[in-house]
Amino acid sequence: MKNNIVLTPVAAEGKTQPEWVTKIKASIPFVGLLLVVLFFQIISKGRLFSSGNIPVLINDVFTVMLGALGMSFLMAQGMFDLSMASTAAICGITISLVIPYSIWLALPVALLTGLFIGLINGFIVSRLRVPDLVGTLAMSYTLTGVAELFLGKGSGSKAVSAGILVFDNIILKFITLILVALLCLGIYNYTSYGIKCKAIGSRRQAAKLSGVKVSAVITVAYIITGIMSGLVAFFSVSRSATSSIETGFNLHFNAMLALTIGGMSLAGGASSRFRYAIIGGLCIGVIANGLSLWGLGSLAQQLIRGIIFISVIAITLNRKKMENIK
Amino acid sequence: MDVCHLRSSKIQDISFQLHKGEVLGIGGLTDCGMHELGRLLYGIIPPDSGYVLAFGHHLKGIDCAIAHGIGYLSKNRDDESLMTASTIRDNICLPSLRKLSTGPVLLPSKTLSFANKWADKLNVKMQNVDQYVSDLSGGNKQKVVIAKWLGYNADIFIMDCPTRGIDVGVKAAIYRLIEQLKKDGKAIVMISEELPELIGMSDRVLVIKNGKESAWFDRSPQLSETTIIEYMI
Repeated sequence: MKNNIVLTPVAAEGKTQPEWVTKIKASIPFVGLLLVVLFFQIISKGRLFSSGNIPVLINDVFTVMLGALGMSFLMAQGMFDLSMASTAAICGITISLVIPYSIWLALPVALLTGLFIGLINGFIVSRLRVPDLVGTLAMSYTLTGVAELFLGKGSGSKAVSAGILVFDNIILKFITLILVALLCLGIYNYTSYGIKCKAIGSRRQAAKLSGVKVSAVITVAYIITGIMSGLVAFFSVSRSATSSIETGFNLHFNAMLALTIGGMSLAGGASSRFRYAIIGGLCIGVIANGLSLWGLGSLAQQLIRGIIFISVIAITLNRKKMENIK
Repeated sequence: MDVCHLRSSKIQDISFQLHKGEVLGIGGLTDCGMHELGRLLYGIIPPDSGYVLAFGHHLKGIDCAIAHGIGYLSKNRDDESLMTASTIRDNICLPSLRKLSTGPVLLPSKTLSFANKWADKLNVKMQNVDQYVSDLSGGNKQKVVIAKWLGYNADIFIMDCPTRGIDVGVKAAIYRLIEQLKKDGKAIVMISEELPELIGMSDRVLVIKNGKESAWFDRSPQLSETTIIEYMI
């Protein structure tokens, strides 16, 4: 066996690019955001930034960005949580259950429910070693089933005491979003947790052999998406005073769409940046709002989002790194 | 480090003691079980029976081994020792993150100076520490791995084929580095398929054949490749 003559393969991935190429690549999401804003500003004849629309716009951006912020830690590891929407639905139900006692219980209970579901997801993916897509997809069906049990089949919904409407406040949402973004930014860039997430996305086995407690890091990331789903559910319920199967509808899809449009690689890893969640969240929020202003129904909107998602991935996918997607 | 009656699917009853400032060479044919022995020592695979002690502590699993100052250089460097699609900085800092944090906070300036310090110490040829590891040559990649464990202040190094796929010039640098580590009182297990390196670097050589101890040699000028090969096959 002459294993020792095997030459190290020359770097196949990530060859050093000229600086201007990297710079242009990094600025694509910014330019994209600008174009999207301009496009809808023109098409809506200036209504996008009208005083009547701005609260709606913030609402749209708010939900998408919360989801993207939550999912960013998971996607940095190259993993996904497809159960965010149904987690939010369950959180909506637990809110409706505690509201009769006190409206102040709503938020803590929603967050705790999210945390608990995140813990289960984390256990399924990290300990039971079920692939993340399959595990969370199955979880999503299970949770939807539970939600339907409570709300009645189909698009059942349950009215919640109108007291909760006090939380439907645009300034409160704005402050919450800023706080959550700062908190995530802090965790992402200024704690060892952020580095560990990217390390797992880069190469799980190497991270493990360097002492990263992979299962714990994965579980925490699922807890974060769970808590974020709880937060989204809380504001969604407080907006309509109903808990329904549609609470948090499309949450994880929009989050993934936002992150990839912001520039996140599906495989995660070292190239993952925090700003992707912010830019992508803004972009998708504006698109959703702009499409509504344009007068498109939700079906057409879904169609467009699906097409955007596939196009973005087809353009940005690094096929040499496909082996990393497991 | 004490290894007592270690057994697994490919290893049968191997025991030895590793001392401070010693290079213990382990040689044999590729599939004799020596690579698995390295993985057993580091806790990547659990032994069927027997145990590994480091500074009097039982080692159970990777995290435990790292906590007791053991660093591992894998034979599959690009898959197991390095995140090639990541920066030199992240690679070097990964095991030492707790040490670099103050409370829950980890300042980027700290990881930067830490990575710079150790990359410089090992003369890693690079533009800066935020360069991707995949851009480096085999030898420089290996230097990054060693920098990672030196920065962590590991006392015991388990090196599985440390000069695999490395050109002659950098190979010499790696040998000098191992000599230096030895002088600094680190203990090194060097698992190698290359006989000249085993004979030249090791204070003792353990030859493994079919998972069993086949022979022990001390450092001596008379030790020749042919003698070792006799015990290998």
